[in-house]
Amino acid sequence: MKKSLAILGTLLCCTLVHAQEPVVDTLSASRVTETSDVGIRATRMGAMEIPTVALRKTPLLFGEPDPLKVLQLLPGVQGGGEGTSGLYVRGGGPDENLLLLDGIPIYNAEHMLGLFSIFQTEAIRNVTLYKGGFPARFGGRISSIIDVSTADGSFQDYHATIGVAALSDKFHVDGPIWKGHTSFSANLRGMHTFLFDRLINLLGSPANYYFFDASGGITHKFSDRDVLRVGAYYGHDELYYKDSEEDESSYSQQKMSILWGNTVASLRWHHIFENGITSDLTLAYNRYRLTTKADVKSVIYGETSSTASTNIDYRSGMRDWVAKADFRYHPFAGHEFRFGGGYTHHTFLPETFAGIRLETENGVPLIDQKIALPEAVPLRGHDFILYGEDEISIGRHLRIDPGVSLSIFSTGGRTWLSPEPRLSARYEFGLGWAAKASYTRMSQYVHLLSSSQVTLPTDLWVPITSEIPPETANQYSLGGYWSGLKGWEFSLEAYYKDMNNVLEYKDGESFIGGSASWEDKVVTGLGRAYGVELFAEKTTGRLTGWLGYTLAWSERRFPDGSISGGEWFPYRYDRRHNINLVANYAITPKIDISGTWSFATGGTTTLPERQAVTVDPYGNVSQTDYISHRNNYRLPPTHMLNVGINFHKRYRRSEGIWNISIYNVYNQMNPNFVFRYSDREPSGADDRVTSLDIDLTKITILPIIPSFGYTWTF
Amino acid sequence: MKRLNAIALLLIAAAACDNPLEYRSTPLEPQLTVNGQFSADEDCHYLYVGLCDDKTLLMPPEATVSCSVNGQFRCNGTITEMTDRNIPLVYGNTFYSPESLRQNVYAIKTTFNAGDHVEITVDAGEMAASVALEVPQAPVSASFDSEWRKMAIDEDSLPETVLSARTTFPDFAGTDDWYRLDFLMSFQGESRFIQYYLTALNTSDDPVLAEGRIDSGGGLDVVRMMAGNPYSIFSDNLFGGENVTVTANFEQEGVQDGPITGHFPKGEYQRRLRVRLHHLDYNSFRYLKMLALKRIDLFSSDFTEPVTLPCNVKGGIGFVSISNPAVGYLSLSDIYYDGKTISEVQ
Repeated sequence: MKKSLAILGTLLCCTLVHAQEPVVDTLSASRVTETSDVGIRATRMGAMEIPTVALRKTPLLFGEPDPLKVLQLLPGVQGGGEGTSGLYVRGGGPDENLLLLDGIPIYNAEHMLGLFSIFQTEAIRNVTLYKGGFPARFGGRISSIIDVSTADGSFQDYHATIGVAALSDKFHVDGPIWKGHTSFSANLRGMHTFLFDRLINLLGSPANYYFFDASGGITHKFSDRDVLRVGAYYGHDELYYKDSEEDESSYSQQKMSILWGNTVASLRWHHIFENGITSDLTLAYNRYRLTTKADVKSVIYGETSSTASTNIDYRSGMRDWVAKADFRYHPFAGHEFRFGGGYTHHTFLPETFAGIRLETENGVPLIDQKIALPEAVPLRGHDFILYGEDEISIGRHLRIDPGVSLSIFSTGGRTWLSPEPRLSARYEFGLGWAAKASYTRMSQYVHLLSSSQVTLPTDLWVPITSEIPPETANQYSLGGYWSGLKGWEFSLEAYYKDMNNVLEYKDGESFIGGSASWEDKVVTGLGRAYGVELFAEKTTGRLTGWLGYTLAWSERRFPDGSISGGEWFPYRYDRRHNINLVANYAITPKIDISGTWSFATGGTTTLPERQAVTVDPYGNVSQTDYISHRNNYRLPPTHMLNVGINFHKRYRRSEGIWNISIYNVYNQMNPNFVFRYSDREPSGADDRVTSLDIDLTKITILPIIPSFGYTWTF
Repeated sequence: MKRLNAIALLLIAAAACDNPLEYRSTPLEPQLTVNGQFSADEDCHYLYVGLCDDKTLLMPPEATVSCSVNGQFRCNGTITEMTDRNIPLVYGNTFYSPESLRQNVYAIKTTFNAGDHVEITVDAGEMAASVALEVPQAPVSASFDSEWRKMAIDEDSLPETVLSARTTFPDFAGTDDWYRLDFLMSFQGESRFIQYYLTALNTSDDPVLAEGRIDSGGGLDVVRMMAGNPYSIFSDNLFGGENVTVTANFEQEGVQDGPITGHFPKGEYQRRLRVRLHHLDYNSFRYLKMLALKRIDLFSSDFTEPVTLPCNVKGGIGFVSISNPAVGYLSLSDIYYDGKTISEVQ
């Protein structure tokens, strides 16, 4: 396993990209657009936008720009495993982020255990993160909203992008179908097996893996007031294993494959009414599926020949149908009103399992057995939302964004109703000084049954039940901002978030076993997260970038005492300090360098504190590991430096860019996984008392990784 | 480009590895362990005192153990050999020597009543520990009944003994309460007295019933299979303050009491079942639940959430509890075979 993981780290990128985006000289994490929710001049707090150019201006892992990894460099956001795309926002869990692709929720946005996200940069227009001050039009998760919007194809010219890398190949094309009226865009990305297969074979592993994405859209302008867009995304991952052995007397073969991926299709009609109201009507379909197949055969030759075979088929997934309508109205200058509603029909498909066991002797069946779980009943959820939000200017200095969302979730014969007020306010003092405050309430109706270390494709989304109420969170934020120095922006935000009905597995329970009786395995409790975030950004000039610092606490408590005796204990991703420094410097018009340096306090895990004694009511005395509370051990801090350099060469009608990136420059061995090895030796006259030695080992799969690339823009 | 790739591959392959992580930089100071499970209906209670560090159990120092009740000194604990304990046999509970378990056992000979505030102090020179406890109320108006020992036919057409012991009690209304049941089987013969707990810890080669489970009366699924609940603990969150009947069924393959008859050559003995319904406080319930989880932890901690243990010992580690039971004694008649199947009997 370790060997297989290590080969991931041995793959470097050599990217030849033929891209059409213009090169922009700024690296800004909080670009302000005309109607944007984000940035220092917007009313909302905790909202940041990542333009696609910023994705290319940061050093790359495996030569692949990844919007989720750039989000991890913002204050208040942490990654899960090193180098992966997991997000943990303001003390929240991995399932508390609503990831939207053109407004459609995505349930698994990762390839290769999170080393890549499903988002292909060429297809993205921008990425907006909300970690507080949530607009009323968003809901369904309690920690963050990540809104990824894709770009329409050009209505005038054709563009194409071809990328070749060690791990993946990319192809993008867009242009007019009917010039000025209809455009298209298409994106393909796939992990090729050219180098990966050879490395796998070299290491003698019978396992292999690949993925691909396909996305695209057609946009048609009926008039200046009506635009219709059809979009689709299809992603597929497959991990497979095939091995066989044969000698004179026997033959055996094992085949196993795990297939998973998302399918999204959407239809959006944008219309501008005579009175200036704009509307967006959306219909969408989203499906996440997982299939595991195994086929094991063995044959023994001889006078008495026998065969044995086992076939297993396991499936799970979920499916959403989405319909929503969003309206925007400008009754007069400085006043914008948004309202709308939506309905999502969720179908959660719990595991279905079927297997056949067949054994024969001399051709005569001995066992012909069908194995199956009881027929799985799909769990259905009806998710309604109505919202209204306003943006009002009061005088020259004060702006407020009040809003309210009413969410209704119905499942299993029970309906939950949650009014969610939202309020953001901004006061401008002058001389570049401003203050903001916000209050938001969020509710969450789905949960991810997940392992503790990494997000796996086998993780299951399940809805709330009549026994498990929805998670809710109230977040209070306060911030001060200064933009009085030309080209610089500074902010300091403080937040406090209280959470109710957060889920944890009970003591001694395991995520193994899937969704069966999952309600019995978990317990609901309280959470609190609070901290301050400092953000200093340089937006213009030859040197651009930002410094982010987060001081944060995140804790959980389960008042029924089922975990840690009902006391507050640190959450798994409680990390006290987090520093991110991102910089891009244009040395000359032809050469620019970029770098990121990150530091984070270590996460937590649970380890035995002492050896102790238990006595049961029958007088049984036992030596035992003593653990007083969960997450009692703090892992060491992690830090790393990534650098990249771009060499620009301008031609008559195009530009070529050489890129060299080095991930983890000083080869810091940050842990991707931590394993505990326990060794017990007799410590007395007999073996009833033992001495325990614990060895902790960290596995680092992403040491120093250089990558080379070439981009041709025309 | 290929050459660059090859060079980079070599560099990375050389760099990717696993590394040790420091677990604890300095060893922890030894600390007293204090444990005991007291039952208010008994007049002798055993307190286990040991010494531990982060790696193992150490030989404990001699200590002075004292017990006070409601602020008044009641008695000192007297150190005793573990083999002297007059506790019933449970399979797997060999009478360990103090050296092998590194526990000193102190007998505290006193009685406790509901509502008593009990304080146990352990003074071991430079180390001291104490525990403060409150004796809960015993379940009121509990009644005990048995419909026991019928020979039945199991799925494999083999005879099997089935014992049903019913415990009926009114739940404490308006409060959250926790309970534990224990079943003590005793055989009194001319020259011998044998007793043992009926638990799921035992196997069929021992004179203790092998399998058991507890089902509630009235269809309430109070306690799951006893193998996952060896201490027969349950909470009242399903009862709603009403009268509750909990029925415990025990099964054993075979037609006799097994090897137990070998202890009574004349075959003359009196058989009796003691049933105790203990009222526990929450932490005692949780402690037993955690012990049960530790017993059935089939997976490594990589796949399961860790099991945390409650501790109510100030200045040390461990857990001491006092439960207060309602007690019933059932005289058991001889086995008879009524030709019914297991499902019909239950």
